Amino acid sequence: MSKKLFITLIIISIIFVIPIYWAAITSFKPSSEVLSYPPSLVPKQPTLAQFTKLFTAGDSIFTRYVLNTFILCGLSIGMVLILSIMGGYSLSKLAFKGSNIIFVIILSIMMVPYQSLLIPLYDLMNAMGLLDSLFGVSLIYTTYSMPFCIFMMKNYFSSLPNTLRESALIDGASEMRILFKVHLPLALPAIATVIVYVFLMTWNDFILALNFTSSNDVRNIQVGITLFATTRFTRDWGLINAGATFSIIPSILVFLLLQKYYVEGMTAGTNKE
Amino acid sequence: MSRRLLVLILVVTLAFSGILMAKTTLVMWDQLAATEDIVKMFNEKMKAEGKDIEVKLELIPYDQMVPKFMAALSAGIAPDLYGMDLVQFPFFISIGAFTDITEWAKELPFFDELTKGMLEIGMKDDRIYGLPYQIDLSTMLWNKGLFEEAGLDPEQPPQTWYELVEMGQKLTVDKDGDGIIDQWGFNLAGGGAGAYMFWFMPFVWGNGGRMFDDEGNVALDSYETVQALQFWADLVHKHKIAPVSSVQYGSGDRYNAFVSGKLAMFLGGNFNITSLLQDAPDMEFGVAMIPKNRGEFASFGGGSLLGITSQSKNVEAAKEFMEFAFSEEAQVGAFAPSLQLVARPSLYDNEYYKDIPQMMRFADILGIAQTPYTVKYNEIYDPVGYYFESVFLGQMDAETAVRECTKEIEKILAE
Amino acid sequence: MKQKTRKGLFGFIFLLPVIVMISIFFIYPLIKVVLMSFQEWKIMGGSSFVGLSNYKKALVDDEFWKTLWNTVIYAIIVTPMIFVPAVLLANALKKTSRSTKIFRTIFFIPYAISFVAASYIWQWIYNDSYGILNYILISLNLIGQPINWLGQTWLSRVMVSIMVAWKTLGFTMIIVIAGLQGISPQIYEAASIDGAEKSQVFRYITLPLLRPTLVLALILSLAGSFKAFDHFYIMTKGGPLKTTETIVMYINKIGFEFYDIGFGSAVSVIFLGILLLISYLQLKAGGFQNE
Repeated sequence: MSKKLFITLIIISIIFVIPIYWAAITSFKPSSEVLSYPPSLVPKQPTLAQFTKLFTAGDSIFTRYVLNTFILCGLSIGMVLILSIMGGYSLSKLAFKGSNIIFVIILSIMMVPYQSLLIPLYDLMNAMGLLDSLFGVSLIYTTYSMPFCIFMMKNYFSSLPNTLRESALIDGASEMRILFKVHLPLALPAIATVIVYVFLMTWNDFILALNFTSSNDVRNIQVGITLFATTRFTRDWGLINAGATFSIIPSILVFLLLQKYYVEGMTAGTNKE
Repeated sequence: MSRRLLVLILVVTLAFSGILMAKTTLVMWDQLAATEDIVKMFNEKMKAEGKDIEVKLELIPYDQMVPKFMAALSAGIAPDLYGMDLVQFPFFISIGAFTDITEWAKELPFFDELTKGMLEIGMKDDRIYGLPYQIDLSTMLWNKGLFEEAGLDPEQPPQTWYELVEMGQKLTVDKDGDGIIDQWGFNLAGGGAGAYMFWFMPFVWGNGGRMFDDEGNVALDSYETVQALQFWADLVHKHKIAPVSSVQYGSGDRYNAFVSGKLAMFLGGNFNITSLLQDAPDMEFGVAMIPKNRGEFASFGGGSLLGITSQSKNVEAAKEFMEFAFSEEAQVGAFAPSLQLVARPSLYDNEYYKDIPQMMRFADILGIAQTPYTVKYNEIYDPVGYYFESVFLGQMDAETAVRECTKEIEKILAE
Repeated sequence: MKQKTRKGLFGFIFLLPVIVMISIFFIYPLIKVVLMSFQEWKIMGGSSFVGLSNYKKALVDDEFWKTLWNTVIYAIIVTPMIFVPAVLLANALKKTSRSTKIFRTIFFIPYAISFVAASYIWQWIYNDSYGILNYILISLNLIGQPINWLGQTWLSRVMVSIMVAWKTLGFTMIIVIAGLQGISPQIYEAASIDGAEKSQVFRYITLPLLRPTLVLALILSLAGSFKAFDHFYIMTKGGPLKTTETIVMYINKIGFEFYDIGFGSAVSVIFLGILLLISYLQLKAGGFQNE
């Protein structure tokens, strides 16, 4: 890479990171400094007060939001893993007469945005008594992130030779065992992709949580931030930035840890589409 | 045989005694955290008096207030008691969601104290369905320090529109001479139709105008309204004492400007007092009535009414709680410490308010509070927000806006 | 039991949970929304069949057309903002090395954060009184007065689009990099033998070969733009004067603030139709990949 290009990229990278840096910096300023102009580029009176307020306000309700969101991620990831591993494997190795049609239907879900089905989904959840429950909302996250994950798992399993299954059958293994003990350990990269994909979708969701949850026991972190940010009478920018800064840490961490697999999986997945 | 009969009688008696000893649990919904204290006090009192009534409080966030109630009503599981934003009451009364408490209410010892304007919101055809128990009033606060710096009497806030402009101009300053205004005299109250209702309508009322007449018809289409709209637009574009960005300023943005000394006169309310004392401990500020023109001083009477829903099965027990909620013990004990406005003017002279001079002002403002009555409160937000904002942004003339807005509200009311 | 039948049976059993989920949470709502669009619902229960009147209502509704227009305009503004930098960066980072991997990660990170967080972060940057953008521009003497970035129609559309571009170009970049890596190096060798300059190579060789990838990325991006909700909801609330209200915001308003279930369903169905059209093109573009 030429030096000129390298320097240009460095400059662009710095500009790219500035917004996140600025939000983080603001989170460590006391409110009086947050509301000062000209803005201080480095905190003059660095403090943890904003984060303290974030996690203790309203009887530490924000901690509850964070916990809720982790639970949602756990539920969704768990369900999607089971469904997409079994489903992807079935479509890949256990194909039967109806497999193709089902696969097409699954793919078609990717083309239908859940934003257009909010009203009937709400009606359905209400009828099933699943409104305002962590399990209920995670069912929706699962349903709408599952298609891509099944697609991914199917492709990955298809890249594994059929002989794996055939020889295991000869050894007398059950289908479940063949899937989970033989194929799964070889599919870890795809699983990593699934985990990141579902985590990001669940952790970052706003519109579903906004409309399908209402009590504090169930609200997620994104809605929680907006509740703190748009109270009726205050606009606490220090607090807002602290909330935003905190909320992006898990997303970035999960991404960084598994980025290799995630990026590979996403590009393979979208290119094959 | 007699042995078996005895056992049977004992069993039946025990069974029935279980029913007789059954506890009455009341479910109450409210958006105010301070209500927790009232509920606690009440439950302890019931225990002490040996009565088996218990109240369970569910705190509902403000934006969930209406949707949750709708959902519960249609499912038949509405709470016994509901402390809801008063502007929503006309609609819910019209669909029969609340119990008629007229006779009982009129017997209450403090009934005559309750603010007429807000009481009327909880009424329909002279029947009472809710009582005002938590108040929010719109008001103007001013920074006395900035007034002094500008050479104005720090104890004299503007009382008329003329004075507002005059003082505002002295209070709009470019402090460091860089061509950018660092301090504004005034900010419009933006951020949605709710803000316009709460802070702009008092300007209309202060000019002698109205939104609805006594029959519930739109009365907005009047010269008084046009003048008020034009006045607000002029504050930004002609007199330049408010920045154009303030048209989008929510309550929080104005609050930030006031606290950081960038704003001299702030359209706020009683709910700002506690935070101001905390966030701006060195600021001397006053509470004033919103400046008027050709009418009388006015303020928007907001807050909550407490009512018993029609789906409640424990109306008598609920009444007992309501009576307690209005008692001096409850109002002063639970609301006053956090500087919530108590519903009964006679209680304003209490230990918590005494130390804070700004609170006493509210007793006077309570007397001039008004609240528009309509069953389509939420629906009229749309045209009100749109047309008023157009005028403030300088994109539509006030006359056209008022005419179009009135037409749309009439359409909504006719549906 | 025959091997094949047994295999098929297990295949079906393994797919069963998926089938159940899809039937309940996808197929059923899909059918329901169409049905509901032909009905009118009352708040305290009860519905009646009203045929096409909800659709007629949508066609004469000012706000419906406005939000559609807003969404389209936004898509038109944001798409080049995403693609031009994405393609340029992808081209600069197409060779895999330690440094390119690091750069790629940096540009991708904003994609991982939520739209909610990004909206607040940028709204704070754009703040008219305390925001750092105004400070930088005024200090550099590029503007004289602080600007209310999110308070004017076209300006707010552009500023929100800048945030979205920052947030999503990393994703497009990654897709384009994969596409670039699929171009055989021999083509470039042949071009350099012919004496072609870098920019010529890019314009006449790279871009055309990249077309299928670009079309795919474009359609994914367009679909995403049409679903815009979080950022306008938070940064402008649809203002000023509803000029940044998107179609999903409108559906949200009708369905969850006004409770007009029938009308909301009709608008949802229309919205779905538009998205399906875009996705249909996506499928057709996918046909390019099977060369």
